[in-house]
Parts: sequence; C-alpha cells; structure tokens
Amino acid sequence: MGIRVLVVDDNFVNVRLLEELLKSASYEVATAMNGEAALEKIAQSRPDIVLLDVMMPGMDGYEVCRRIRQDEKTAQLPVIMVTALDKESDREMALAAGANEFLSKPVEDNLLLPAIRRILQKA
Amino acid sequence: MMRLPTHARAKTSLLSRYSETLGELALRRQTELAMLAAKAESDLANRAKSAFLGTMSHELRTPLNAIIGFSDLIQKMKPTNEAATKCADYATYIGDAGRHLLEVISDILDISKIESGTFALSTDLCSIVEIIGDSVPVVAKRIEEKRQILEVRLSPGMPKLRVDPRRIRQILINLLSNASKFTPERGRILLLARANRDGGATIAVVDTGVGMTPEQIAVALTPFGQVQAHLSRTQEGTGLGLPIARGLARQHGGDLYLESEPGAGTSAVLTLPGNGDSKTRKPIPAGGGERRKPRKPSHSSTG
Repeated sequence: MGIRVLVVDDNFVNVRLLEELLKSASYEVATAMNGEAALEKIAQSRPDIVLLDVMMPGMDGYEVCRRIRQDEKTAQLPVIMVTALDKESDREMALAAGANEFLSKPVEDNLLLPAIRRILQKA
Repeated sequence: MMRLPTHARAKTSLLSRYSETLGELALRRQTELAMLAAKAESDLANRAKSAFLGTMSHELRTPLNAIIGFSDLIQKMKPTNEAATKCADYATYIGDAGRHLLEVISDILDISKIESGTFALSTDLCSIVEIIGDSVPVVAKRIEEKRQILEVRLSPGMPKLRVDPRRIRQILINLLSNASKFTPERGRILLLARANRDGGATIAVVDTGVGMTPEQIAVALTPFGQVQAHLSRTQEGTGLGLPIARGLARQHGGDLYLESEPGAGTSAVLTLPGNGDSKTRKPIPAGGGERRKPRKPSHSSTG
C-alpha cells in the first residue's frame, strides 16, 4: 500500500492542485474541506501525513493541529501546514500548535515533496 | 563661626544644582512621555497596517497558488489524450483564479483610495431607475441558479441624480449578490426604491436569509473585519465588498447601513442625497462611526 496523504483545505481549487501534485508523485490522496471533517477522516482512515490549511470556516488549522497532538492516538502524526499566510509569526504559531513544517502558498512542488519525504523518514 | 556660611553656601549651590538637574530630568521625562504616546499611536497604526498587509498578502497568494501550481502541472504533462482533458480542467481553474485575483486587486485599490480620501468620482446626471435596470441583469444568473425570486418595486417619481453610475451600479451589484448569497434556495429577494423629500433616493435590498447580529453587522462593515475577527472565516472573498459599498455611498454624500436580526433576514439600505445640496455636502469620512438609527423605508412593511 502506498503512502497516504490527507489534504485539508476549504478552497476546492487548492485541494485539486495538491491532489494532482501528490498523485503525480505516486502518493495516495484523501481530502477534507474543513477541520471537523479532517479530524473525522484522520480517526477513520489513519493517513501517514496531513497537509493542513490554516484559514478555514469553523475550526482553523492551528486548532485542528492542536487536537491532533492532544489525542494520544494521533500525537505522532506528521502535519505540514500549507497556507497562504506568510509572516514569521504565522510560522511560529504553526510550530507552536505542533506542526512539523510550515510552507507558504504558492506551493512549490520542489519544496513540498522533499518536505514530505524528509518528515516521513524521520517519523 | 566662619565655616557655617561657607558650608551653607556650598549646600545652596549644591541644592541649586540639584534643582537644575531635577528640572532637566522632569523636562526629559515629559519629552519621553510625549514620545511614548506618539510611539503607541504609531504602533497601533502599524498594527492595523500590518494586519491589512497580511490579509492582502493572503488574498493575493490564494489565487496565485492555483495559477502557478496548475501552470506548472501543465508544463510537466506528457501529451496524452487523458492529459488533454485534464488540461482543459486546469485551464478553467487558472482562468477562474485569474478573474478572482483581478477582483481582489480592484477591491484593494478601491478600499485604499476610499480610506486615504483620494477616491475620485466621475459623476453625471443619471436616472436611478436606469442604474437599477443595468445592475439587476448582472446578478440575474446567480439568482436564477439558486431559483430565488427577485422582486423590484419602484415608487413613482424616481429622480435623476448627480452620481457616478458605475459606482452606484457597483454598490447595487454587491448588495444584490450578498442578498442572493445569504438567502436560501427558492427564497425571496426584494429591491425597493423610492424618492426622498430632499430630492434624493433610498434603495433597499431586503433578503430572506439567516440575518445578522449587531456584532456581525459591525464586522461586515469593517475592512477585512471577517478575517481580523478570527482566522476561520464564514464566507469566501475579501470581505471588502460592504466596506467599499459604504465608502462609495458616503463618497456620494449618502450612506449605507444594514438592518437585521438573526432569523429575520437583512435589509441593506442605500441613501443618496438630492442634487440641491450637492455643492455644499461633504462626504462622511470612511471607517469608524456608529451607523445612525435608520428610518425604515416606508414600504418595507411587506418585506
């Protein structure tokens, strides 16, 4: 079975983009359009890594990340924040919430794919 | 015996030196306090500016992400039949993102000009009825898609006003598309227009949506309010539509306010002054200020 990535983003086009990028690199992709749906999918299908947007309706990405870390079953699940926020303080917030990595949009595939490989190797 | 005066003189000169130093210190402290106050003020302005810049950056990066990402994907494709189908999809995403980006940029330009007071209207004597007639078709498709019913009621004697027709259209399109967005499928939307005693006009767009709390109204009228309030958001878009619409209304010497209760739908009311006082009127400055207690449009009882 391949490596399974969960993409969480409220913007349909962004989800499609990450999905295509990841599939072209032979990952299996599942998607969720908001924080609640993401936590449900994580509990059900146990992805290997999560790509998480920050600004979403309802629960924001930081909160999703904190909840992933609080649950001992998912505390070790690798999380990469992929967001159009780009300030240093945004990065600090993401790392404080427990993210392994923080990438700003526009997403460069030559940054994203190595980041995924690096984090999965460590995990 | 002689030592005492000398001693006293020394003390006096010491005291006067202390007093001088004290005076200097007090002056310096005063200057420091003034500088601190000025700094606090400029910090606040900077924070507002950096919140604005941060949000702007986010709103620009989101569509750019799609444009750059999908173009990259297309470039790396091998020419197969499957790729051709995918390409067409990707081109649609790129086109939509580009158009969205254009909207974001013109919204940002509008709000910047409004807030800096450098907005220039290009006015002409225009029929308000005609402007309404030009605005409705722009949102008709959206309203049809949600199978909503738009009813337009114009009172007789609607005036011609000295306005910037493009900008009044922009306000009405914004109000109508908001009304459609927040009204459920098959719901009803009402556009009411009447002439005012001062020769001006009042146009109300009444929806049958979920309604708004006073806090939500305040947020909706604040530039980037929906983003500043928290990082999660309830609706797509820059959240600049209503602040721009109100800015444009005030630029005309009129105003825009929202009247609503949760569960009771929302009325957006645009008032435009008559031509008589057009030379002396001053636009109400953008931002700040409580909305004034609205008078209900006389025929809104049916809405």
